[in-house]
Amino acid sequence: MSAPIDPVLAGRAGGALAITPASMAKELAQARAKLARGMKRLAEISEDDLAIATVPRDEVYREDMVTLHRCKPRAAKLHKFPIIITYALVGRFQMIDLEADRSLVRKLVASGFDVYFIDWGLPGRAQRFLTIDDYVSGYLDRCVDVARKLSRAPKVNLLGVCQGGVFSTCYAALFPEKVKNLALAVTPVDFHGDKKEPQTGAGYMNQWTRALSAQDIDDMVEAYGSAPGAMIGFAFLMMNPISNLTKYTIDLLDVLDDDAKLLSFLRMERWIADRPDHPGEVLRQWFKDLYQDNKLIRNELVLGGRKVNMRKIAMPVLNIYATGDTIIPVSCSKGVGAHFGTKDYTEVAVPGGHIGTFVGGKAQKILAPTLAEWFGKRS
Amino acid sequence: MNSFDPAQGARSVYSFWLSLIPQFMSQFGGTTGAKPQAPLTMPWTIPLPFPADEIAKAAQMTQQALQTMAQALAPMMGAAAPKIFTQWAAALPTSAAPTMESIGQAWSDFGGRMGLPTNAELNTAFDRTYGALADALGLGPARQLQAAWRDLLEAAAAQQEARASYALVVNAAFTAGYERLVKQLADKASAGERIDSVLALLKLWALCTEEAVHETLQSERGLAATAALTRASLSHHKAVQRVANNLADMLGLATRRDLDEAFREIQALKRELHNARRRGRPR
Repeated sequence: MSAPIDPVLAGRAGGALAITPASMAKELAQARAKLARGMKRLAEISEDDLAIATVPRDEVYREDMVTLHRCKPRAAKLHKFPIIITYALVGRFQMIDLEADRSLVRKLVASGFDVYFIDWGLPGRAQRFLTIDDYVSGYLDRCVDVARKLSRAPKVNLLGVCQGGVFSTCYAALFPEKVKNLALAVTPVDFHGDKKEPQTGAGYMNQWTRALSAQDIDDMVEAYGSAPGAMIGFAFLMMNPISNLTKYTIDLLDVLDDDAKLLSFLRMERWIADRPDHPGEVLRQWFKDLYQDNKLIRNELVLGGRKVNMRKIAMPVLNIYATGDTIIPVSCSKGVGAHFGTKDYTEVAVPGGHIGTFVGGKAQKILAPTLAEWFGKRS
Repeated sequence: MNSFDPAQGARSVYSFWLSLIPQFMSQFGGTTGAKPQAPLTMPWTIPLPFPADEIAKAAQMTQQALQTMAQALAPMMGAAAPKIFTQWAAALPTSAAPTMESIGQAWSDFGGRMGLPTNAELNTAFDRTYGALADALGLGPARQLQAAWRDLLEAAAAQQEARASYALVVNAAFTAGYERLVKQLADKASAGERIDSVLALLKLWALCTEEAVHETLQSERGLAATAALTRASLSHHKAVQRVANNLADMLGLATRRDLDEAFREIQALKRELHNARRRGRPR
């Protein structure tokens, strides 16, 4: 501690403390007892208790490490156009079906939709040279074709999440004839939006990437090839280092004492730990073309020799952003409707953070019903 | 169902956060008495599924820390009010700063946690291989290796400097966080509010410090320090690779570049194949 504490301020601060040695001893003894009970409960937890993404489904397509899953329908009559959910590469798809009662996928299936989702799998060293175009015009396009064929539909509804939302946007611009409706969730569209509305604690990735040069990004890809998943996970955790220390210490007290909270916490931790490696060339484009040069919203992004022109997205667009998103700041998602070519653009705010959008109690009540209604009216 | 088998990297992330628990808790007087990453004796014998096993470790370390915290904090809480903060502040330079230094160091060292050798390991490896290669292959190739090794040492020194600069920035954030806590408590006192829970006090400290960390790391100085550390870490990583490439070349083994070229070619061929198929079918 370099700066001395102002004695007058310290004196005033001390006046706020009503902790006595006796009250503290009692409180900490209770805390230790809670932890002891929690550890006993942890010892009873089985592998089945921690299973995530268990929605009944069939694998309908596989290519390299990518698989397309089709959920088993629950309604007798399905909407005409199927939904394909595209998640990001930086995490696994399980977030959309983390727990049975907090599952976006299950809610859409229950609403009568024919739901597919893509698992991008675990790219290895051999996938280092995959580009965004390989994902968009390659894997995603082939998944769309499989879904169109199986569902006997000329077009599909696309629901893209975060980075998957950017892929879906690119796809809708390049293959508009195959997309009935485009829905985006917590998706960055204006990667420089945070410059207009700087926010402490949000948009660190935007600022950090811009603090690097294009050469730094090239060096990063050269040095790592595919970025190790654990390194990416670590980078996310470092955005809130103190919260991540309290998460594994004093915050555990609340979690361990509540069985439902404990299981949800462990399932979430399991999801967080499952970080795939990120193909180096995708990372290069993601950081340089998008975070540094903001080419998507400027219609300057080029994939496979073709320019991604957002004005070509004339189908209806639903854009859902999270009001407390610190990874994709609101200013990067909100107010981008004018850049799409559609006349049917809707923006919806959900409470909570980037991941809370899919698992948070309040957001759960908004996200799936909004999507079901919006797609339903247009499918 | 199949059990979940986390990648080694995921384990290393837990290992990192858990290794900080003793330092984090010790600044409030709590210490686990265990060295970072030291194995703990668990009250059960059956292996727990991931990540229940890691959380159990964290819970046990926290439990141990709380045991000693009560004793350490009691004299402070019993003291006259202003004394609490001067005592706490006096404890911070030797406790909080290393916590964040550890975070900063781990940030720059994270590559090492995923399989890269440490400088000490490289030193030993070099001493052994250099002599052997010089004998076996002659001095020419060995000189190349020596040059690569010299580059690596320079990169390691530059990385240390970048780490030190980064540590200064994060330590300033800790100072700012503590000052913010004292200010908030003073404001609470003025408003007639009281905190009667030590855990609530710790949570308030965490909140104040997190805000200060965000502000600091998002400042121009913070971003510059982070970028410099990233650059230094990348240079170090590449210098390690050059040493490994030299060794591989000398021994006639495939290098990373050789494999990358093969992967690049395979990817290009796949792309061509898909394009040819697409051209051959109606949309």
